Amino acid sequence: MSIVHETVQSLFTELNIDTNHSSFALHKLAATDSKYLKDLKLNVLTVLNKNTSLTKKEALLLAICVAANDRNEVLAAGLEQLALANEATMEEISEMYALTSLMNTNNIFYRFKHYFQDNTIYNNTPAGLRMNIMMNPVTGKAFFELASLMVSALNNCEMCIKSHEASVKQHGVTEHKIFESVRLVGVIKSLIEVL
Amino acid sequence: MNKVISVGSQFPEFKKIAVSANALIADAPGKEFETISNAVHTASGQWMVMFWWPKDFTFVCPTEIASFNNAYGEFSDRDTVLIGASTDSEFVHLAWRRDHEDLRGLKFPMLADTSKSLADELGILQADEKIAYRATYIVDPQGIIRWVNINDLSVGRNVDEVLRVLDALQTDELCPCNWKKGEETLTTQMANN
Repeated sequence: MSIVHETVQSLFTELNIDTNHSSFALHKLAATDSKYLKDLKLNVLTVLNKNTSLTKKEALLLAICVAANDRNEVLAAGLEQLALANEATMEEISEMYALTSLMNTNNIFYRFKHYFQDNTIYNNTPAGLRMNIMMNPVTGKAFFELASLMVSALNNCEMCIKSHEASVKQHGVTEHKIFESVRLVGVIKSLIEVL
Repeated sequence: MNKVISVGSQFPEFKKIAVSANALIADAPGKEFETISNAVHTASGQWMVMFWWPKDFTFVCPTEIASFNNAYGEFSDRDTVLIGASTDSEFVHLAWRRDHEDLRGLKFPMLADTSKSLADELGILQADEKIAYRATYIVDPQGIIRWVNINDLSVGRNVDEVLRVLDALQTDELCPCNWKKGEETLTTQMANN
């Protein structure tokens, strides 16, 4: 049963989500006409559309990483159409899924190692893991690193976040752009929590 | 005295006739052969494993070649072009493939270094007979030799060892997550590569 609520419906339309989509949380918020719905909608539209450093395409690709990280196919499908309409290619979109998957390995594996920095076995044994998609990313090294940083932020790996943040800046990405990116992934994550 | 081209060197430029993988089902004369150059792997950004044997129609070789062939999928999973080579001519290669049951289904080309120029440049020609030692090369997508192994004429190879080395070469910890105290420069270098 679709949600009869103007704010919800306009958000769905903006994100290219099926207007019949429904969720337990959204139903609850709509039924009580929660003020939060307007905040959520405006936050989402702000992080996708009101950036000064991130382009629309970059914002959408980062949002796809959040959807991929939480396996939210409803949001991912809508974002994909928007990204394609904003000059993203299918290869670039696909790379966001590859990157998000790989970073889940790294965020778990390295976070564990980081907890035990004095352990010589954990820290000196070669990982033996393939990470070749990092070599020549189709989205370019700077953006690939930025997206990797964002997935690390989503997955709460402190050292991954710190090392990628340094690496992203080495690739010439401004702190302002990193700021807009992390604001975006935080908001898209909050959307997924109720979607 | 041989001067072997070793790890870190550019693999020599080559352009040679080879018996192509599907030579035995070629539908016209001449289609059994193809010209192979360095571009066979560099153009597509792949790795190359090239392995040499001394002579066609000898006993150890087909077993060894068949074991490389059995691992063909393992190499292609690792974005690696597999090439067999000897100083025999393409016609001898083709005759051998037709003759030996284990060689009919080969999935990789057999390179014919008939002039021996490549084997000579690689420094793998045995002095008396001017035939190639059992040399194996792993070459990265940039054309740099990353591993060399040379066995004497009679010593067979272990394909699993080649795959082990290939895996080790291909699994750099490229992610900045691998950052450790005191290793900032290494991470910086990797990030800038």
